[in-house]
Amino acid sequence: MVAIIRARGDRSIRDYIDPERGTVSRELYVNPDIFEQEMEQIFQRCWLFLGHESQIPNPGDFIISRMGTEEVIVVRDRKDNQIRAFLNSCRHRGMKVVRYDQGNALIFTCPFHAWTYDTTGRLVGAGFQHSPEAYCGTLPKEQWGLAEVAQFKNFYGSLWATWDPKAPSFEEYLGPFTESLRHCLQASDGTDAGLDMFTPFQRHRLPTNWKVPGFTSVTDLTHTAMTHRSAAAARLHQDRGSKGGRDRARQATPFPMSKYAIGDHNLGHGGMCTLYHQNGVPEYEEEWYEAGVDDYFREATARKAELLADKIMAPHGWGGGHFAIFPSVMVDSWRLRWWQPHSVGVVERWTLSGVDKTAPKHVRDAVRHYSERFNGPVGFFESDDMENWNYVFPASQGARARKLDYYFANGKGLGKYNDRLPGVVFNGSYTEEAQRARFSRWLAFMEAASWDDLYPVNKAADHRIW
Amino acid sequence: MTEPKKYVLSGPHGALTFMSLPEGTKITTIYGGAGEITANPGDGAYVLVRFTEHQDPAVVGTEEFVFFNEVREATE
Ligand code: FES
Ligand SMILES: [Fe+2]
Repeated sequence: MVAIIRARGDRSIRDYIDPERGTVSRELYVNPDIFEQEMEQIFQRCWLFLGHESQIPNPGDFIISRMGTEEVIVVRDRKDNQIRAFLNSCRHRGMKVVRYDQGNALIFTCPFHAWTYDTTGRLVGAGFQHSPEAYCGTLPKEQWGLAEVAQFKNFYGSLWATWDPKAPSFEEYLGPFTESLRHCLQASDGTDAGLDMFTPFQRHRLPTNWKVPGFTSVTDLTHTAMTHRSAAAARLHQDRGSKGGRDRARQATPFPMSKYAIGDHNLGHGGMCTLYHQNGVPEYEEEWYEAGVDDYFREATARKAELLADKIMAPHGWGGGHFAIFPSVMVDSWRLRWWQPHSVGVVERWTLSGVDKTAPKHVRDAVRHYSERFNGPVGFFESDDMENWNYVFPASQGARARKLDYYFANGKGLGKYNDRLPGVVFNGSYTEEAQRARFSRWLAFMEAASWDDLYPVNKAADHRIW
Repeated sequence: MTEPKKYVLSGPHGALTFMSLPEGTKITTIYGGAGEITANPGDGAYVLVRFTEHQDPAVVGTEEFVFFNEVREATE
């Protein structure tokens, strides 16, 4: 599985990355054979993000999510209230069973020949199942349930799954990012599983390769400086209201912290990172335009400060910057965003924005409006990103353009390990360390025959290539 | 005493009527089963029936999804 057919001279996959020069061949972004191999080698094995439990609060609630190019039904069972995930493909002849994006169901009935499945995926009926001239009651229903994911995890409200029964536990997969993800899923008062996600959520379909946003844009502070200069001019970035940005009240004593770009080359995760050097939380800063919202968050922050009085806050999240979970999820304190590959040149970006579960209406509304200002009909912050992502692909895929390489050497060789997050390389905020870590892991997945070759199942594996 | 209402499940409105058969509707099947609707998923294909009589005695007292084509009669 390591060579790529129909690529230039049938190169080995390793040839496409030059760690010495710090370059990545554009073929990795535009070659359909490589894309197919990614779906098999990466998306069939990795833990993938499916959604959030608050999207399906009631028994029988379901959403359609995706794992790689395939749809999955994520459903809360009517009896045991457990959430499970199944491939959205009828076991009879492969019809797409569920055609709604979300809803509440007693059973999922296939429109083709009426095989029907309950909310645990069990086959519970088929057209003419009892007819003496058809199935004669002999259909072995217990063997023909919907294909269920091999492992499923509800991690503080966020839902994850893998098709690979041999994948490590979700926490092992996250490694030193476990506490940070948990932190991002907390309410602003520091209590667990504290978020409600706004529905329906935002989706954008983009004509580009999934790695353009998924690998290249999480932790790319140099693009923030350039691409988002327009948003800075309109005071949208880090400015939720009238008093944000530069007008914020200066704190008397700044909270001690340091900022980095980080990457775990063995796990592939990484992004912006803030390490805090003191217990507790930074003092709350007024930032909301809407009346009463600052009061709510100030009180919540005070409660969080009590909870963390003897504890250093987890890195990233909550003002500490966003980070990526390999292969294609971005997380921070107010959104979970992931990139769904459809084909080599088409990706969908899904964004779930959240608010404290217990927040009153005026706070929910303010937070929702803020996320809409980012990329809703009246937003533009992320439209600026999408413009880049849209044009990268066509400008890279031509017969001439694809023979070139991309430059990923910004900050190469400057990174250092840090005991605070073992195994993670820390580098300057404006470097491309996180992006290089993603490619170290990408290569490991593309070459590995199974999880036995991959960290952390194989603890001895060292995937860092640069 | 008035006759219990019999639902018309054939003809142009049969499928729509089937889709909204309420809980409690009495059902007989073409295989000699009888029972009562406990839930209607509204998909037009199935109703969930608790059986009091069934060709397979093991099903009596339990629920099974019944395909529209297997329903002989539905009465209020
Ligand atoms: S394909 Fe679903 S019932 Fe035949
Ligand atoms: Fe951006």
